[in-house]
Amino acid sequence: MAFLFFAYFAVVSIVAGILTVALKNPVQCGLALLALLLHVSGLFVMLNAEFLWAVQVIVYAGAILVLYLFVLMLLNLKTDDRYFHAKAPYLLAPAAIGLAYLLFLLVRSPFGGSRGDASPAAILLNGDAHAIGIKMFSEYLLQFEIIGVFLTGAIVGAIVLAKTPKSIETRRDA
Amino acid sequence: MIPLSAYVAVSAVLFATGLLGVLIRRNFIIVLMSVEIMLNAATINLVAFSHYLEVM
Repeated sequence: MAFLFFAYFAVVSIVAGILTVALKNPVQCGLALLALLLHVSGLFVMLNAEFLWAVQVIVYAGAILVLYLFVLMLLNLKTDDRYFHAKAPYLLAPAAIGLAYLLFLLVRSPFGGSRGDASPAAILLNGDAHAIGIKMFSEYLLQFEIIGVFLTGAIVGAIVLAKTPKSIETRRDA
Repeated sequence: MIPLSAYVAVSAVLFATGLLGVLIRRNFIIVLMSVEIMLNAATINLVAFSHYLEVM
């Protein structure tokens, strides 16, 4: 049963990824990306990462994708006839060689690495969202606040940039 | 029980798709979407290795 779910999520996410790259209409590309993100979130559920599932659905499907679709529809991009680079066929052979090297490194690499001090049993006791919240608001509170200040600055900067300055003539009239 | 290599294979295929999209598409917004595909592939890798760390 689990294998059926995995096969469904894996196959649909791969097909949606290929469609995102290959479709002509940019809005259709965005919708294919939406399908990809939702099925990848299904893979997260199968790996017991419920917090990441919620973040994936809310942040990616809810915020980032809506932003992309908003920009696409605002700019009203026309579909190009030449929507690939003219030299795309020449890139295929280097891309294949690079991917083969990547897979070679992936197979060779040892799977050891640094581990956190919280045991999986302690995380599963209260759920991973609870564990992340406790860590974020106790040990990493300063970094959290710094990110908050940065984001506020980014919002203020966006508002300043979005206000188109008046030309000198209209300012003189007023 | 799904083997770890299945997740890593899905992630590698998605990453390759995103890389291809970054290289060959001309529309800038779709290049950004391809970067998102690559980010998702990396996240699948992280979550899968974290989940299978106890088994190995």
